[in-house]
Order: sequence, then structure tokens, then C-alpha cells
Amino acid sequence: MLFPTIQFGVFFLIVFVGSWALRSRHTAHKWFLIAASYYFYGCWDWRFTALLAFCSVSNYLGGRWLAATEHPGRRKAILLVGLLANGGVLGFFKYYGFFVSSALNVFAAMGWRPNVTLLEVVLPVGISFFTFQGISYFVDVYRRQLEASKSLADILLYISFFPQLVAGPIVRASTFLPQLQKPPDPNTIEGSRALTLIMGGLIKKTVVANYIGTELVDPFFQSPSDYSGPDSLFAIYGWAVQVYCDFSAYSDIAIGVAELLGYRFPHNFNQPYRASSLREYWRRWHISLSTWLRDYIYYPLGGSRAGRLRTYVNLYLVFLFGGLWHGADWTFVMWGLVHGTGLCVERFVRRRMPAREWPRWTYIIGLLATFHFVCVARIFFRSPSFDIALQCFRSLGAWSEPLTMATPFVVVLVVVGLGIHFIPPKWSEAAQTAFGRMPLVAQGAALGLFLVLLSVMAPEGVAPFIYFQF
Amino acid sequence: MESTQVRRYTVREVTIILGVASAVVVLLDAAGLRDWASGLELGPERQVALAITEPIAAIQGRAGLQRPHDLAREWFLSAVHIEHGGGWDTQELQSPVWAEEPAAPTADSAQPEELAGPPLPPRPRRVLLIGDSLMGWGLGTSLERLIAQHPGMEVKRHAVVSSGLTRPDFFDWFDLASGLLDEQEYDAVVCIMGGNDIQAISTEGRVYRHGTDEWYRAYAHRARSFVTLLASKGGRAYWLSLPPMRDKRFHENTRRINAMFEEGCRQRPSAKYVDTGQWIGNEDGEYTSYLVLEGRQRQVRASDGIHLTTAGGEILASRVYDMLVKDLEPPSP
Repeated sequence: MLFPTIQFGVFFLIVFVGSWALRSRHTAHKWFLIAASYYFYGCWDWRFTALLAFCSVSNYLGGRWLAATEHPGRRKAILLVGLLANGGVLGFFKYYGFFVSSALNVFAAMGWRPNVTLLEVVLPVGISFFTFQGISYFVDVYRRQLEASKSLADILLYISFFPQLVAGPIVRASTFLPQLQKPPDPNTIEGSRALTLIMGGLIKKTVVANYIGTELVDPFFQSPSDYSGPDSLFAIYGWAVQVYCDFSAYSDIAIGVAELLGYRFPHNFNQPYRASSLREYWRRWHISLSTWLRDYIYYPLGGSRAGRLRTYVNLYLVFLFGGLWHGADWTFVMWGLVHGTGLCVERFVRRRMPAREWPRWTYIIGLLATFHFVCVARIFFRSPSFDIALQCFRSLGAWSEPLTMATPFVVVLVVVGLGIHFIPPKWSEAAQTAFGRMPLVAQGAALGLFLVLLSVMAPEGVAPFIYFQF
Repeated sequence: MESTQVRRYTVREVTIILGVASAVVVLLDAAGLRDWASGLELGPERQVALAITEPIAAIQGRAGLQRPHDLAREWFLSAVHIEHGGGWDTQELQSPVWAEEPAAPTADSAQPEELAGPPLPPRPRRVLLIGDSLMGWGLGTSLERLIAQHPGMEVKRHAVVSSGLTRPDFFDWFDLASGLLDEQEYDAVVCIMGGNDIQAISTEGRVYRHGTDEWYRAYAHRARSFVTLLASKGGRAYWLSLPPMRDKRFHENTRRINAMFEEGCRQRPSAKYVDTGQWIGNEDGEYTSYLVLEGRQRQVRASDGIHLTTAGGEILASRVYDMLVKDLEPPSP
């Protein structure tokens, strides 16, 4: 069930009415949301609701076990079991084929061809997100930053809550579980913020991302060698806009939907393409993943406090992991390594030339350099193989041919997708305030007209969100 | 610094907003809701959705309230030069143009060794690729690229995700294929579809549940009619079988669908049934996710066990391409 569909609209209206109707019966309210979330997930494949329940129950039991154990050695052992359980689920479902086939290829290169029957493993949607949430809960309990939940319903709801279930944001247990201690307040819904986020997300996904995908990016990446240098550059810019509009749309809609149900999610994007350095970019892009990698991998590895060389190694390891998290393919590993290298180089340069000594105009240089670096790395992210990625790079060098893919409509979409990064945050706050000042009926009419307008402009059908595959 | 005041709403206020918004959508785009309902899988959910949306759409249509939406969409699509509504699931809700007369399958006849067809004119060979999502990416895009790279061949591809022959109310392939073949003369049509057809057939007020004798008779008739349409209007028809599927039950169903198209091809000298399992399956032509090619393990099937990966699409495309080049003998430039 995809957000920008009538099916989801009907589902949400039922959940909205049902959950608020049950507000005074807190436990029933939570179980209602759990049932709705499992239904939502089951729409993809009912078999994996059992996996979702397994992850939730095992994290709940692990948390209780940790809470009942004081001995440091035993606590570490329990932590290890918890990490292996969560990581094992993710590893098996997501990386089995990748690692086994890669190993067999290595063996084959060495002249050994073992007779191995490969299992057929289906990738459950959203598995990378809900296993990361489980790990964050488990580790936070181990670190005593969070009290182990006594309520199984709370953990079931935390792991499965449908707005963020399949593509984030990766909500921390420390953010969400405290919200489950009492029923949501029916008088403090930030409705104008929620509705403007949902409307913005819908238009980013259904119009900007979808049309750029079908009219520009998909044809290019199918056969990059057929396109000229200007076309290639334009398609790569288009891909940058498409992936931002697609993924941030999901996050925005998730945040808005959760808000309407009385729950607060953290922001996941903050105009990432206005970053003037890679470090800043990662503070603006997929914030919930960046901070997760920082808190659960980078810091435990020693972060930047274990010496210069070790800091560089840690950065590489984090981005290697980040690349693999996105997909079980060597192209994602390469994407992670490119970013790791970029951050190391940037860190090296900044140590010698602190940013405060740089003139203001270097912001523009930094912005352009960061954006283009991100675009180049994303070629690996989007290409189904290294061969296609290399074709992209070769096509980028063919500047004797003209630009043919830049239809006025697609140009407008790309410009809009980039332009929204430079809108002052005050403007969106002002838009929310202006929307909130209208009479309620006018707000409803505006929302209804917006949805009709969306159906006028949207392509037939809706492609799945790009991050569903992760 | 002055900060903007974020308004806090009560549930009642949000309910009013959502209620008014829903009413506006129903008022101005009830046809969109009805189209969504008719696109649902046959079953109680669809019946309820249609029972609610059809009368509303009828009343709203009679009142002329749908017109602004339709005019705006028409204008928008023409202004931005997007064909067929763009996107993934193209729904063209038109009644089928072909008569529905379930007929029993005919007796087996041998598949001709040589593919017959009209004489090939002295111009680049024109190939039309049509089908469902299997022709949409993977196989479709790779085959299109290969053919386009041949100087003596031209290609056009039209793929519609989730389409097939059981639900002309969702997408009418007879209508579209007929239109495409009338628009231009082709030397060959390559088609792959049927994977979305494991569902009931509803026609002239009767519903044939999948798996019943009536269903097989009705589907065999459609399969035969469609192959006939492609072979008679499209020069030569190449029907690519659905590849072996991972799920045993689904595989059994698609195998039966393949058999009906194979039967349809047998009856037309200019139609050829192509068993894709020989290229994308294991040694026995059965499902496999991985194939060893040039000493390397390649994943050829997507995680759903139905679609092809890019590598799988390339493998199948290269085989089909070789076959087309051999049969069509494209002229050198």
C-alpha cells in the first residue's frame, strides 16, 4: 500500500477515526494501531508480518533480559545475542544472495567450483528500517539510556508503526516510546504543519519525482551510452532531484500522518543540496540514518577521538556499512567508499585550513563542489552494474552531441526540485501559519482541491518509493 | 526574534478538514474514485468499492462536475507532451472491441518449423515490442536497446504494468495493439504477458472464476484471438512464454497460460511460440535465480521470483534478438 494512493487514503481515514475514537482506552488504542500497522505491512506480503512480530518480540524479551541482568559480562553477552538476532535477520534476508554469490565467484576465479544450491530468499520490504530500530532500542537499553519497556504492545507498535515502517525515518525508541506512556493529546495536533507536509510530500513524489523518473532518469540509466554529454549531465542532475523528492516525500508524509494520529517524528531532511561541505550534507540528508550510523557505529568505533588515522578508518567503515545498508551490491559499496573518501579528504583539508578562515564566497564553491560530488557518487547508487556506471561516465565526456532530453516540463521540474533547497525556512513556516489561519472549511476545501489538482497532474499509477527496496 | 505561531488543532477540527476535503474530491473527481475501484482485484472489496463509487460517479458525471477535472488533465498532458498519461499503470477504461464467445480449444497441430510471413520489404525491419511489466524493464529495455543499435532495424516498445488479457476493463490490449498495428506497418511483433491473468474473467454480466473450465475456455479464446490479431496485422508474431516462476502454484498457473498461447501460435503459420525457460531456467528449464555465465554467478531473477533482473533481461534479450536477426534478415545500411 503506497502513500499516494486512494487505497491508503481510505485506510488512513479509517485508522484516524478508529484510533481517536479509542483514545480513552489506551491499551485498546495501541492494539488498534498495531493491527492497522500489520494490515498495512501485510498488504505487501502477509508472510512477513510473522517476521515483523518475531523481531519485535525478540527485542522485547531481550530488553527485559537486559533489564534483569546487572553483571557487565552477561549484559555484554546479551547485547551480542541481540545484535546477532537483529543483524542475522537483516543479513539473511538482504545479503545472503550477495555474499554467497560473491564468494562463489571468488572461488571460481581460484579454480574451485563448489556445488552449492543457492536458496531463494525474498527481501521483505522495509527490513533495513525496522531492524535498525530494533538495534537502536536494544543498544539504548544496554547503555542504560532507555529503560526496557515492560509493555509488549509498546515494542510491537514502536517497530511496526505504519507511517515509518517501510522507509523511515528511523525513529529512535527514546523518541517514540515515551509518547506511548499516555494517550495522545487530542487538542494539540499541529494540523497545519502535518497537512502542509503531506501536501508537499505528495506533490514532490507524484509529480516531480515520478515524471523526472519516467521522462529522464529511467531512459538514461537503461542505456547511458545512447546519450550525449549534455543529456547525461542533465539526467544525473535529474536523478539527484528525483531521489531527494522521492525519499523526502516519504519522510514528510510519514511525519505528517503520524502527527495527525498524535505522534511526533523527527525531521529527516533539511534542504541537503544547500550544504557547502560533505559533512554538512550528511547532517541534512537522511538525518535519521546519519545519526544512527554515528551513534551506533562511528562512536563505538572510537569516532574522532582515537587518533587521526583511526578516525579516517572509522569514517571509511561507517560509509562502507552505509553503502551496504542501501543495497546488497558492489555498486552500493562503491558509493559508500566514494563518500568515505570524500569525507576523509575534506577532513584532512579542513584540519589544515579551518573553515572560519575562508572568505564568504567560498560557500558557493563549496556548495557546487559538494552537489557535484554527491551527483557523481550517486551514479553508482543508481546504476544496476559497474558497466552501466562506466557508460555514464563515458557519456559525460561526449560533448559534441546536443542536449535532447531537456523538454521544458522536465527542466521546470528539475529547477523546482533544486530551487526548493534555497527557500528560506521561514517561508514554509509562514505558509503553514497562513494555512492555519483560514477557516476550517476553507482548509478542507483547499486540501480537497489540492488532491484533485494532484490527480490532474499525476502520472497514471504510482511507482514504489525508491527507498522501499532498502 | 519573533517566531511564527504554530496552530494547534483538536481532533474535531482535523476531522472537519478531512471530511470537507473528501467531499471536494468526491464532488470533483468521482470518476477517479470509480476507476480506482474498478482497478481493484475481483472480490468483495472491489464489489463494495464499486457499489459506492459507481452511483456517485454516475450522478456527478450527469451533473457535469467531472468535466473540469477531465479538461484540466487533457490540457495538462498535452501542455507537457506526456503520452498516454505517462507513468506505470495506464488505465484506459474502454469496453472491449472484440466479441466474447467462449470456445473449446481446438486439437493440437504441429508448430511449423519455418515462420511464415509476408515478404520483407526493402527497408529497415520494424519491430514492435509489447507486454506487461516483463516487457517494461529488464527484458524490454535490453531488447529495445539491442534492436535500436542495429542499423537495419527499428523498434517501438509499449509496456503496461499489471496488464493482461483477463481485465480489458483495466487495460484493453486488443484495442491498443490493433491501434498500434494500424498506425504503422511492422515486420514483427514480440509479446510477453499473461502473468497478471490469474484472476477471474468478468464478461457480459458473467464472472468465470480462475481455474474453472469456463475460465480456460474464455481465456483460450482470448489468447487465440490476440495471437491472431498480432500475426495477421503485425507480419510475424513472436510469443515469448512466461519464464518459469519460483512459486510452484503460480508456476503451474503460468504454465497453463503458456500452453494456451502455444496452442494459439500453432494455428497461425506466422506466429512463433518461444519457450523462454530454455534460456532463463536451469538445465531442465525450471526456475532458478542464478545462472553461471562465463564462469560467473549472475542473479537473473528479481527478489519476487517473477520478474527478471537487469542481467536476466540482457540474457533473454540477446537470445530473442539473435532470433529476430536470423528470421528478419535486416538489410545492411
